[in-house]
Parts: sequence; C-alpha cells; structure tokens
Amino acid sequence: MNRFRQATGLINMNIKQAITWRFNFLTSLFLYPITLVMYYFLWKSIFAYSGTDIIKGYTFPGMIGYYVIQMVVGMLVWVEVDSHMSNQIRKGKMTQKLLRPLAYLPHNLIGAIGIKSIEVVFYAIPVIILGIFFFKIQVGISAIYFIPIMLFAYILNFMIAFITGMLAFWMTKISGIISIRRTIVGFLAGAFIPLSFFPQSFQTMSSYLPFQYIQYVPINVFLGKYGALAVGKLLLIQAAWILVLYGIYKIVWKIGINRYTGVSQ
Amino acid sequence: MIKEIAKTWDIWKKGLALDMSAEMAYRASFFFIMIALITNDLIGPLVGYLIYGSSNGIPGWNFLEFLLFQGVMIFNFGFWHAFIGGVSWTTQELINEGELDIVLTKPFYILANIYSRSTDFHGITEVLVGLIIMAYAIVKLHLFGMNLIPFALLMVMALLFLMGISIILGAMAIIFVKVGALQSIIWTLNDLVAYPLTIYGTGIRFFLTFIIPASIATYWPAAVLAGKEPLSVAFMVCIPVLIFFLFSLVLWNLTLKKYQSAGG
Repeated sequence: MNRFRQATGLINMNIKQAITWRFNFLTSLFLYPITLVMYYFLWKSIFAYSGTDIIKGYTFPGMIGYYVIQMVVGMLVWVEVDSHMSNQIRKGKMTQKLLRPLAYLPHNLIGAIGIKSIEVVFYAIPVIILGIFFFKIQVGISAIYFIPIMLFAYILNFMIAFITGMLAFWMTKISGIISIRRTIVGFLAGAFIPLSFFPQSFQTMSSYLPFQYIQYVPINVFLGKYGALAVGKLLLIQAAWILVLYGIYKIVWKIGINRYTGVSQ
Repeated sequence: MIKEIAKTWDIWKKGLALDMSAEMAYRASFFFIMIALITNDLIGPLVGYLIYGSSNGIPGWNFLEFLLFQGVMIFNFGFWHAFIGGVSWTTQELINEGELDIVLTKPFYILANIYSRSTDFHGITEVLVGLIIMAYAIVKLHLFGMNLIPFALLMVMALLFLMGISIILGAMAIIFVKVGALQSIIWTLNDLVAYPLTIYGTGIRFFLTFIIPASIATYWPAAVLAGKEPLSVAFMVCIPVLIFFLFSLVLWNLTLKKYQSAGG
C-alpha cells in the first residue's frame, strides 16, 4: 500500500509539471498535423504516379493511417530519461535521487507514466480524432490490443534510453550520443517509413532486433494488421526484450554507479 | 558603410573564436554531436532511396534529382543551424535574463551583435553533408550549364528567407518573452517543403512560394538547376523573398522600440 502511495504521488507530481507546459502542448497539437498534410500529398502523388493501389502492403488510406498513428506512437514512446540522467550525473544531482526510497530506475519509470497520461488526454486522443475526421482512418476493435502493446513499447524504449543514459557515468556530455540513439532507434523502428519498404534481408535482421517493437508493431496493431493470437506472441517478444535489457541495465548500473562520485563537473 | 561592415566582420570573428574555445572544452561530445547530425541528415536521402526502390517515386523527379533536392535542403538548413538560426534563441535567452539592455547600450547594430553571439559550429557539419550530396548529384547529372548562375542567386535568396524567419522569431521573443514552442514553426515549415512542390496542388504551391516563401529553401534552387522550372518564374520567386526579409527587419525594429527589459 505504501509503495502504491509513493507511486501515485510521483505520478501526480509529474502530471502537475506537464500541465505547466500546456502552451507547448497546444502549439505542437496545432503544428504537427501540418506535417501530416505534407505526408498526405506526398503519398497521394506517389500512388498516382506509380499507378498502383498497393505499395509494399499499404493502400493510400492505409499509408496515411500509418503516419497518423505514428505521430501518436512517436509521441507516446518519446523518452528523455537519458538526458535527465546525464544532467544529474554531470551536476552531481543524482545523489539526492539515489537517497529516495524507491530505486532510481522505477522512480523514473513511474514518474514518466504521469507525463504520459497527460499526453494521452491532450495529444493522442485529439490526434486520433483528427485522423478519423480528416484523414478517414479506420479504428477497429483491434485498437484495444494497442494499449498493452503500447505500454510494453514504452518500457522497451525507456530501457534503451536508460542504458544510453548510463554512459554518462563514463562521459561528461552525452547529448550527441542521445541524439544518435533517437535517430537510429527511430529509423529502425519505422518512424519515417514502414519497415516493409526496407530490403528483405534488412527486414529479416530487424525481426531479431528490439526496435520494430517500439513503433512499427504498435502502429500496425492499432491499424488491425494482427489477430489476437499474434498480438499475444508480440507481447511475449516485447517482454523478453525488456528482460534482456533489464539484465544489461543491472550489470552496467553495478559498474557505473561505483564511478559516480556526486561531484559536479 | 565599409567601416561598419569591417567592424561587423571583426565582432563576428571574435564571437566565433569564443564559441569555438567553449566547444573544444568537450571534444568527445563535439565529435558525437557531429556524428549525430550526419546520421540525422542522411535519413532524408535514405527514405528517398526506399521510396524510389518501391515505387515510381515523386512525379517528375528521378532519384538523382531528388538527391540534388535533398542536398540543397541539407545545405540551407545546415547554414541556418550554423550561422542564422541562433539569432532567435540568443534573443530569447537575452530577454529571459533581462540582458538585452547590455546589447542595446553597445554602439553598434543590435542584430549584428546578436549574430556574433549566435554561431553554432555543429551546423558546419550539415553544411558539408549538404555540399557533398549536392556535388555528387550535380556531377552525376552533368549540371554544369548556365543554370548554375541563377541557382547561386536562388541559394542566396534561400538564406535571406531563413534569416527573415529567424529575425521574426527573435522579434516574437521580444513581444511574448517565452517562445520556446514557436521554434517548432521552423521545423514544420521544413517538413512542408521537405519534398518537391510538385506533390501539392496549386493552392499550397502558391502559398509556399508567394505568401510564406519557404519553398525557396529547397525546391526553387534545385528545380532551376535541374531545368524543371523556367528562369522567368525563378526570378519572380525572388520578389516575395525580398519582401519577406524586409518585413522581418521592419518588425524587428518596431518590436525593439517596445522592449521593456522586464525579463521573464
């Protein structure tokens, strides 16, 4: 019970922080759909010019659905834990966080859920509604599977970012590495173009990596490309990857935390 | 006038040396940020490669021409990142701290002074990536004709447009004090012109050429060099860019008069 109260307290605190940034939310809510307009015309012209109804498994409405839902998924899996860690380590501010009753990783993970819940209300739902009205995306019953898949996708991306963040134990500034992490994970996760556009050999390789389970798989689950059984299997794979990354975290944290002195640089 | 320009150059050089020494304090970080920018810049050409590998691509543009387009975009936005864009966030920083007054008391052009504080060396990497991609496409497409002259002119216009946008954002910082989110305007504009204008209908094409002439930063130089647009139209496109730039300067001067140095 006590643990539960700790967690809800943390979530509340982060919700309050997120609301103070509502102006940013409103601006992005207004600006991001403009990018969708670009994707709409881009693919409309590509489909027309190619004279075909299906490209790499996507119809034109399916492709637009992909980009609309990518916008939601991309926002929901967005993590900044590595930049926070890097700042805290550099400025010696991690000490006070380490003294908290909850361990550092769950403290950050649970806190982030507060921010994410705000984003679902102010961002994800409005974008999906915009998508249904303006871009005529189809939302089927399979959208229910989207919730657990999305939760695991977030934890997966969080773990990758957390492991990146631990590099700050060895290096003073890691903003470059964080940016590389964002771009490469995003590209391999299908944030820019569906993975079915990649060469076959690359897709095979990609199925042995965790990245497609962060965006490509959740997007396609939302669009109803998987049945219940397949979704169950995907959840298991996501869980397995989370466990693997958790193992890596345990080892690296043990070595890294010994290097942390609490002195700012 | 010449004396003033020489002075601007001098101040700019001093600012540059200061920024550079700050960067060199974290050399490893500088290196990784460069790699990060290169990776980021290569996403556009890579996505293009995947699109052209799976379809007929963008109407009227083959893959090499699309690479030329991408090179122009990466170069211009890289130049903006390195030397132009900083003006909007430097202004914002100065205002938030209530420090713009210090700049105002200096016996010199305020904008030039702010520019001298706003260089971001990392952007030079992007300028180079853009140059390499452009050069590759130009050589492969044998585009060594007379079109290179209007191309150069349009590239200058592109930088004037990007300067205009940054000055407007700087002016907005003076009015609204906090404009963090407004910075994303530049990324949204970049997204809108990230593919050749030919994908749009007449309405959006007109808007992005004559109302907010963002397409000058990507489409027009590449289209003219690749011989896809007549020169007469290309010259016409310069007019809205010049108007836009002048408008930004007027707005800047007007808002500066309203500045109250409250901080925020």
